[in-house]
Amino acid sequence: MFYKEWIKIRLVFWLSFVVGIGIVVAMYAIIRGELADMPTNHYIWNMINRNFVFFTLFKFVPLGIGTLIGISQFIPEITEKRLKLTLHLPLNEEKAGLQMVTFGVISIFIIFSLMLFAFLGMGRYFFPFEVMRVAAITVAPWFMAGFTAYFVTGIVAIEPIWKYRIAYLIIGGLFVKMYFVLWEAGSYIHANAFFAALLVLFSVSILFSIYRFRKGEM
Amino acid sequence: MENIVECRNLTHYYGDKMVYEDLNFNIKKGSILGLLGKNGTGKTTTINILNGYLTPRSGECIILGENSKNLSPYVKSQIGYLIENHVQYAFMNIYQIEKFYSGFYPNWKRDAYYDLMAKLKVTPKQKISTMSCGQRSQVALGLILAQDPQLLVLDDFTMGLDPGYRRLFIDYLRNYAKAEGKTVFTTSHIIQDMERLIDECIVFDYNKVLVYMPVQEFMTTFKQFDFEVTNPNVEFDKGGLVENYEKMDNSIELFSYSTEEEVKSYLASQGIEYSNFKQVPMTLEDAFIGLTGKY
Repeated sequence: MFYKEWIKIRLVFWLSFVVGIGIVVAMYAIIRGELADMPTNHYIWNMINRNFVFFTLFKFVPLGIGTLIGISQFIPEITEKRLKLTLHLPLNEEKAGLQMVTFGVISIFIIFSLMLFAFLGMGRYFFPFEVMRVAAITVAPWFMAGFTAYFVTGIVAIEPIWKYRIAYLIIGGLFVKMYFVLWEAGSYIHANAFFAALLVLFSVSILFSIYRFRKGEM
Repeated sequence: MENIVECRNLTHYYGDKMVYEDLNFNIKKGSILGLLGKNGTGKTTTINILNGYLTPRSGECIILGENSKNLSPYVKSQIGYLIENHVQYAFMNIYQIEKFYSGFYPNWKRDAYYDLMAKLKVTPKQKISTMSCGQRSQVALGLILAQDPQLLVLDDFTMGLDPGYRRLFIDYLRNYAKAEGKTVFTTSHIIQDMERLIDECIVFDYNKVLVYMPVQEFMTTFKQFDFEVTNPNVEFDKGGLVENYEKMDNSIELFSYSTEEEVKSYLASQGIEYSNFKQVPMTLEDAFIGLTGKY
């Protein structure tokens, strides 16, 4: 199953990887230029006292990556109802669906981990640990938004009835919006665990769409 | 003879629109059953129910001993399924798709697939999406042959194929099915193709089954009689001796399971004057149109 999924997403995977890492690198290139004109202490003072967030440049990048991976994985399945082929494989249908989702999650996790690694690793070159700790807490919901966008894309794509698709889009949209309501660094420090729990619940909801597809809902 | 498929009292509706009620049919092991019908009579619905993609309102289909609503991985491995338009993973090439499927089937027959692919003028790295409809049909067929299932379910396999590929597909399929003792359930819009392929037929009309019998029996018992009537306003009651009829001015084409003598007696009993009475030989397509009508 992973072989098929890889063939579908590999171009988008490498594109997402290059764009994701590229944006982190570009962001620090900009910061490097700014720090050349301004002492680091002053820069950090701005962060603490003026709620200046230096990493807003990639705020929506994980969201875009999650959506793109979802589209590249699920749109080919619903085109010409190819999902029938997947569900006809000699596997339990739920297992087949979960394998597809697992592959997507692993792919996104790899890209996001490398982005986060680059973000924190390069950040430590410029800023102290405390600053990067708050930065990590701040970006966590953005990455979770990427996973959520992936799940929503899957659920919406596979759902056979349009009115349900729209309902899922609205619910998913509101869910994604939740990650971006607060803009200040570290705002979501107490919410991240809750977000993560909701995300786990969301991850299996694609099974409901697969079940409805199998039942032949029209 | 053992039944590979048993459909019992199958009833399905789309909303309030009835597709059929209490449909019953079996597919015997080693036979090739063709499902014939006009558009919208429920052919693909039946295939979807058979494969577990649609839950019927009532009734059940038992395939290889299991209810089609919950087929086990083993039974699914024994069903080769060809989707309408020969849909396959078009983002793969012929090498990738063989590699993908082979991982799922322990008895995968790689050579059967590549023997067929060798006949196609495609490069190994050519994506299926860039192939012609005929080439895609051969890829889909090759995958089913390699899967080596007990039951082949083919949904409108002739759609989009030119005459050469249709003939190739049918001949290859029939030879394979008969040589290996495979059971085939198929639909097609092109009835003349079915004549070369199937042993038994079911003819669907809207909401009902018109025929369910061996093709040879159908072709022997169902007849067309042409004649001219003196009174062009003559009408026939359908349902008794007359299964269907077509009228153009004074010329009548009458379709019936009755003999020539019985039809002549019927015409006489109705006081219908006629001339140039003759029985006309029919192909399966003629018989199908005769039975279901042109509209």
